[in-house]
Order: sequence, then structure tokens, then C-alpha cells
Amino acid sequence: MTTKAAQLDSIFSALADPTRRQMIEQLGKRDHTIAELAGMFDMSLPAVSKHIKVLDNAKLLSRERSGKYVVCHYEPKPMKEALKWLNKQQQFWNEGFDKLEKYLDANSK
Amino acid sequence: MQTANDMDQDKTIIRCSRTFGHPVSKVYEAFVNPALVQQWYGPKEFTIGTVNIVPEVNGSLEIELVTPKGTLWVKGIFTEMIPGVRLAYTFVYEPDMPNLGRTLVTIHFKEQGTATEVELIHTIYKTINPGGRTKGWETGFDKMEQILNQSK
Repeated sequence: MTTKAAQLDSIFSALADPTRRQMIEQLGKRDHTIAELAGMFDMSLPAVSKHIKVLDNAKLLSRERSGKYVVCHYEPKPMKEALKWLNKQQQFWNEGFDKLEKYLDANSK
Repeated sequence: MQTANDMDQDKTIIRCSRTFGHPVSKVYEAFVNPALVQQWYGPKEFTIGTVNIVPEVNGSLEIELVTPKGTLWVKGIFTEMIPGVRLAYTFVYEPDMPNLGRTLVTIHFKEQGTATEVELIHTIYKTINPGGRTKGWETGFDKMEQILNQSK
């Protein structure tokens, strides 16, 4: 598998979980510490850390230590890659339909 | 096969609609006749190699896509086949990149006088919808753009 495909894989997998999508949605608004996320999602710190690790592996966020806190910051670039892929799949059908239209027009009496 | 349960799953939906100025029988045939599928399937920079279609429910579909980067196959099984009305087949890329697993293509045909309205729905049972809790994300990108903009 190419690096890019592996990256897309990890993005789709990371976002397959509704809690992780909600975390990204919150982080899209502003940075949050792991403790804040634990409060928002009514989860234990280890449970939040587990989700954060998956999102981090997909490069959907970066972590920075600030004193005794870990601040999570949303990284939009991988999401753009996933969107690009979906756009390409949309194009797959649109352009196919363009060709079909041309073919039908050229082959009708 | 699509079950009621699938409806509740998180999914991504890609839609493509088009009205063709041709009778429904002719348009429908272009989706199930291998020689016709070969004429149009896939984006413009792809050419189509081998097409094997067994046009019946549980029949297989194999389409070889020759892309600028190499050869790729679309493989699937017909799950629904109502001539002139609806067609559905599972859709898997081989190699599967990214790993999407089984996806589903459903095509609805609607007769509009001498023209035919076609709506194709490609359902991917994975989602990138950060806001979606129950509903699947659809192309349109509103929500996603909102998220991207928020974070600059």
C-alpha cells in the first residue's frame, strides 16, 4: 500500500468512531486539553487519551505539553486529503456520466 | 445486501444525477451490457479493459480500469436488478485503496417522457463526517468546509 493510501486508511478508521468525530468537531472550534475533553465527553482520562492517540496517529491533531496539561490542536490537512479522495470518487461518476451521455447521443438514430 | 440496520450506520454518500435524453430501456442497458459499460465507465483519463458482467441478482461484475498509474479493478455482486427501475451492486476496488471495504452502488432510473433521469448513490460504510451522529455525510462539503475554516 502506498503511503498516501495508508494515510487515508488511518483517517477513515480514526473517523469511523462517532466520539472521535465529535472530538475533532470540538477541536475544530478551539484547542482543548485532554482533561477538558474528558469533562466534555464524560470520560476518564485514559479513555480520552486512547481516542486522542488514534487521532494523533492519523495526524488529525497535534499534542503539546503546557505545564502539567497536554493541549490538543486540530490539524486540518489530513481531512483535506480525505475530502480530496471523496471528490475524486464523485468525479469518477460525473465524468463517467459525461462519457455515457456522449456515447448515447452518438449512437442514437 | 442492504438491511434496515445499514440505514443506522455511519456512512458517506456520494450522489450523481443526470437526465439522459434517451429512453429508459436504452439507458438501463448501458449499465448492464458489458460492451456498453466499456464505453463510459470511470473518469475521463481511465480506459476500460475487460468487463465481465453476469446480469442477475447475485451475479458478478468485474471491470478493469486502466488508469495513468496502473490497472485497478472494480468488483462486485448485483444485489438488486429491476430492469428500467433500479440496479444495485456491491463495489470494491481491487486493490482496495484506501481500505473502504464493501461499498454499495444503487442506481435509480426514472422515465421522463422520452428521457431518463438517473440517480446514482454510492454508499461508503465509513464516514469522515465530524459532526454526523446519526445521519450520513453527503457530498456538498458544507460541514467539512465549516470545520476547515474554523481551524484555518
